[in-house]
Amino acid sequence: MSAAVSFSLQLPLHGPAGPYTMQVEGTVAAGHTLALYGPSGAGKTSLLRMLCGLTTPAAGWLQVGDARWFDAERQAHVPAQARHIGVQMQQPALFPHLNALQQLRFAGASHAEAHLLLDMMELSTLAGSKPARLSGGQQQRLALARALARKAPLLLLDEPLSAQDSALRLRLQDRLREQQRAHGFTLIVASHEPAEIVRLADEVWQLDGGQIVARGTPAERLLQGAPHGTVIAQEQDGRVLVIAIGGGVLRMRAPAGADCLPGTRMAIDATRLLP
Amino acid sequence: MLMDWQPLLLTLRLAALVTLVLLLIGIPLAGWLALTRSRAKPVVEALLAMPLVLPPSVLGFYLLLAFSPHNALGAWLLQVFGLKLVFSFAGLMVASVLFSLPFMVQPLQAGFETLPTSLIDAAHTLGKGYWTILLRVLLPNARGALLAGSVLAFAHTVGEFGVVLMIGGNIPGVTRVVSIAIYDEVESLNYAAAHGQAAVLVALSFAVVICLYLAKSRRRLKA
Repeated sequence: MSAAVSFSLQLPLHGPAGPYTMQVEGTVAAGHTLALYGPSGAGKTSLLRMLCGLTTPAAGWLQVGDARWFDAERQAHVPAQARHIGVQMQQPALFPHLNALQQLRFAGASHAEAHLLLDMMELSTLAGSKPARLSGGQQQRLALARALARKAPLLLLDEPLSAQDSALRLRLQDRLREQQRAHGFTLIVASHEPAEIVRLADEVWQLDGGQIVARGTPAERLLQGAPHGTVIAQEQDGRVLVIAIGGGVLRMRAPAGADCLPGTRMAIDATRLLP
Repeated sequence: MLMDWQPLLLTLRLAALVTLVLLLIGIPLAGWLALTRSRAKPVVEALLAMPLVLPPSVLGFYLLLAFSPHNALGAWLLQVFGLKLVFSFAGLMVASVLFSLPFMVQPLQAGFETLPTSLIDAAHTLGKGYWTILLRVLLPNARGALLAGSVLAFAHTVGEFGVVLMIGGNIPGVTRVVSIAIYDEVESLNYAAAHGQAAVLVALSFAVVICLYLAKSRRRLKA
């Protein structure tokens, strides 16, 4: 159950420096994970909204599997409700009148599937709770479970784990990968966490000003041959450092008072390593 | 002197039926107005608001003309459905539904539009169409607006005068609603009878409106 995604899309946008046109094109292989990486306003969310049908592009086309979901020349536009997709936007957008279990049932999960998803998101004790009773992190996990409940060939996630603490985030990344291996869906995820991208993605596109400015594997794009010990990113207000090591990364608690800006090099301290 | 309850009972029957019909028409219409991006939306909204700005006698006059068997629509209704809408209870209902439509639709539309668009977007990405979104997302989250629309439509139908007089006349037991009955009693200088009916109407209206505000404050406390 997976679908290749190909597109060439244009969308007029307004930025702080005035109007500009977003122009993106590319292909994501079936069953692969593409990470969209870039600063705020780069166009990550706009691209996801065009892919799921909530925003209509000004020009271009979008092909998912055998289906043409959008084609400006042929005036074809499959509306969002007719696209079989799982979507989690930055706002959890949970329905206030439904409890956690009902949210998943509404998305199409059977009773048993809904309980499995709640277990997977560590929400099983909150099955009867409505969104107002859930914390921001719990709401975000429920929104992710709801996207998975669609059992769709294409999953679109916008900063899906940004509100989770680091240990839980790692567990959820692993479970997301397990789900992908089991069901084979194609995943497109917007993230500004290099460590998350390295763990999840097969490919990363770097967006800036509505254009794809670089493409490659996470190791190529985010580590960019960074020497052993280079700080790639800071997490949790600088308390945790993501450090390049070989072709991957590790996470380490930042030493007090040290200059830990991205690009600087750190000595790896085994006593400070995080899972 | 015994009070004549017939106009009051007729009015309550009319208001209840009109509210029911308005719920059936108003909910989908308000949902469409809240969700649509159609360019026709302002035109539909303006048409719906006409009863708010027109003198009731103007609306009643045109409905009387339209429903008259001497005109095309009235003749067609009589021929095809055997339906005579002038000076009949059915005509009173149709006129009241048209006249009270904005009182049902506007609170409902406002209630639907206060819901974040992200909820509607989420429902769309879950594969839900218009009717599912209306009945399972919008309505359960706009119960206050539903109650307000129902109470306003009911109360407005109870209090209408100009339209019902034009389209229904004053036939006892058929179209003689309580507002017309009170007017008749005052015309006949029968103030005691007018007082009786008017006092019941005041009490009834107050009871309906206080129920609305009590429900509203209970909802606010729960939230």
